[in-house]
Amino acid sequence: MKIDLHCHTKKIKSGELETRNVTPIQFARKISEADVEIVAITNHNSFDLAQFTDLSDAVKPNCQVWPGVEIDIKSFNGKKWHLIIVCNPKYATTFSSAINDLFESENLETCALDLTTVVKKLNECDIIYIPHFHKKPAIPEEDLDKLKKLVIDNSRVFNEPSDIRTMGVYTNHCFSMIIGSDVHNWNEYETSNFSELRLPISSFEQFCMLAKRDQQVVKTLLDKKKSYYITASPHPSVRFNVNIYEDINVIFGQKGTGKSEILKSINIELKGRGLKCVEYCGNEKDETFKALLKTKDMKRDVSKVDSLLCEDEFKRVLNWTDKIPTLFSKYINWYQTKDNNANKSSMKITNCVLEPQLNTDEYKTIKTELKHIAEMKTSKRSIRISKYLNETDALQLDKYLELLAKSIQNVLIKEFVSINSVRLTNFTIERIKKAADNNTDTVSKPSSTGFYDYAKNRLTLRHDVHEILINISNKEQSEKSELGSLENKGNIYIKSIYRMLCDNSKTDEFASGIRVLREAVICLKTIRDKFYLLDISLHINSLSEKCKEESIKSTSAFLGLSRIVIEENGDEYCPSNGERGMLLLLHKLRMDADAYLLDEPELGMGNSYVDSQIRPKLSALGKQHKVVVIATHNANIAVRTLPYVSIFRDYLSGKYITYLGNPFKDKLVNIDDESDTRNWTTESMHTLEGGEDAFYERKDIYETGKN
Amino acid sequence: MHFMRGKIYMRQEKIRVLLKEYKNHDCLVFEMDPDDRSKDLPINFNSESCQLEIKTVFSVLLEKMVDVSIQLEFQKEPQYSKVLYIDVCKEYIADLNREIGQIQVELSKELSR
Repeated sequence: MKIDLHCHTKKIKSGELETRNVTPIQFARKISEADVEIVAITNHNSFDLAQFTDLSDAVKPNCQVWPGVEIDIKSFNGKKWHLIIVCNPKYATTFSSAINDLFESENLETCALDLTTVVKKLNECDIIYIPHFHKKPAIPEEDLDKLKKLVIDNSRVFNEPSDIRTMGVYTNHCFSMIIGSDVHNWNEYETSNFSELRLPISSFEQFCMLAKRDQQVVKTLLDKKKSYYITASPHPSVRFNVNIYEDINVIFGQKGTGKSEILKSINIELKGRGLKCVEYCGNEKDETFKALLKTKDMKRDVSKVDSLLCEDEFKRVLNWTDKIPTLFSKYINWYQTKDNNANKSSMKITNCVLEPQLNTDEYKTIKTELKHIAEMKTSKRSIRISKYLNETDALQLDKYLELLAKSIQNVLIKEFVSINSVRLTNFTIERIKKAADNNTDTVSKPSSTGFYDYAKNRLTLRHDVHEILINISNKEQSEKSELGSLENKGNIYIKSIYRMLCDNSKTDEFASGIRVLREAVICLKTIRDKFYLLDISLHINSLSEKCKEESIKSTSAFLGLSRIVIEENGDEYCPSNGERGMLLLLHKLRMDADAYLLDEPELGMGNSYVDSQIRPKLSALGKQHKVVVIATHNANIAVRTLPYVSIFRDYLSGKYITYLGNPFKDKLVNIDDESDTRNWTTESMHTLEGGEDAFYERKDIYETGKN
Repeated sequence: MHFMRGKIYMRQEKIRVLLKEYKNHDCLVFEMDPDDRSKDLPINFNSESCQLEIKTVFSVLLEKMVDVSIQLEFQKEPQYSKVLYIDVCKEYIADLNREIGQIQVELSKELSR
């Protein structure tokens, strides 16, 4: 919609061209050729009410004419700058009187008025102000600040640049910009620069409302207010097309008119276009809140609590078998046959006992450390050493790494030799004894009573069980994520808790049965504490059965997962029904998405909360070019967000009808019949406020209470 | 308390192991408590349950080793005269003592974790 708020229709000053004068007929023709729908008459230092009236009549009903003036203002530094003032046409007569008063004894050619005087005089007339901005004679920075302070409502202050490109640049940097024709020659009016409004409007009030809502009133080349041409469906057999904008889009109407279904169908379509969508349904907030506290997205990862899985330990424990002592009869046999063969008697090795096997833990650790050194050397190659160290230091680093590697290797070899020399010694003793026995038909002395192996086996069992118990005892970690905030309660969080089985654990925390887990822990503790018991196998069998019952193969089975709601101080908090809705909605609105689809978000919330907390967030999302579609019965949401699109659903004479419109045009148009229009204000009042009578009666009651 | 275990100043206890004849059976009796005969653990060389009796002794010895450091002392009844069993048991107890000493070190390390 083209708008021209800087238009001359009379030569006032001597320096102006005669071609600035225009007749009503020429005015009407040129306005039509330029397709301008709103024009403000802003002659220098004067306003001609009669001409204004004539020109207004000449262009009705296709174009609105607004009264205005371009005033020379005295700058703080003594120079002059130009201020365009446009008035609400309703106050044209008052405006005319005010202008006449201001310039009563002034020389229109040379005068320069005081800014404060001008603003104070004209403000009562419902004004917008457009100083020259980077356009000669331009407003100085100091005077612009002063103007904004005087006007108070800064949405009434625009800036006029010298050209369209400058306007585009400043508009995209959130300056309120507007350019007018500043016509010098009416013969060429249609070739002038015009602004285009983002949304069509039909009155001065709506222009101000649009300006108040959206700093960028005008379109620019870079305007990215995209829309999606969607097929919406309130019923499987009913479909209609609608443009959904990257801004606030509201669906309103009486209950049962298909608003929720329309929302769902829009959701499906937007997802189909690849948009990331977030949904919120006021009716389902309880289930949705409960789902937020579910733990199915939490991984049962024991490293969260600095534990190890102990899978090898579990395997060894569950497959453990006891060692049998050496038969005493073997000793008898040895003694009885030891002198049967003189040669064998002289082989004292046949009387040897086995050496105890050395523990290989240290060997494994050293081997791992050697591996780390090798990895270190490899990864060092990917570092630009010469960038950080000089040549001498780089060589030193290589030297010490090599020294460390060699030193570890030497210790590893020593450890290897120790372990394997025992192993080989024992192997040798056993083989020689066997060979000697076979060749002499004698029995060698048993290599051991079996006590060492018996006890060692029990100690290994204890070691593994102890390792498992360490990794499942007294371990807890938590993670906090912000959910939202509540009045008087501050920030509210969701706390995700990872906790190994303990006295306070609850059944829901585990995938396995908690009773079985507790019994398994008792078994483990018994095995650890009474590892010497003759019938220890019974306890191991019992443990084995429980592990089989619940498929327990590692410590992860004992890791409990839970989520609770907490306050800032860490105390658990149970939000009320309404508070859940508040928190959930805020949580959803904070999520990063392309589109937000909200079905009756106001349910369970007070109006004060909706207006102070929810509405600003929705407006902010609209400003960020997010698609926000809201089905609502709440006036604060449907009206005060000043939606880009209002979809109104009505049911009349057995038929459902869909209207599209917005508050700026104050019109709703039947999508199936352009001639069927409704008033946006009337329908909003009826549906959202209970009707005009109810709305004004409430106003009267409130005002009576005040008095 | 277990924190005392594994330390070199663990209390030492001598356990008498007596070779005797009892109801015509050759038995090696481990006197676990010198003041309480009911705690004696016999190994009957002539019985089929000899293996199990040895295992029982091993279990009790291991249990005792948790609290004290033990040493077995072989003795025979004065009237016992079977040389075969005397010599075999001497060797057996000597081997058992050696293995007890080896395990004691490892037991101390494990219990101190």
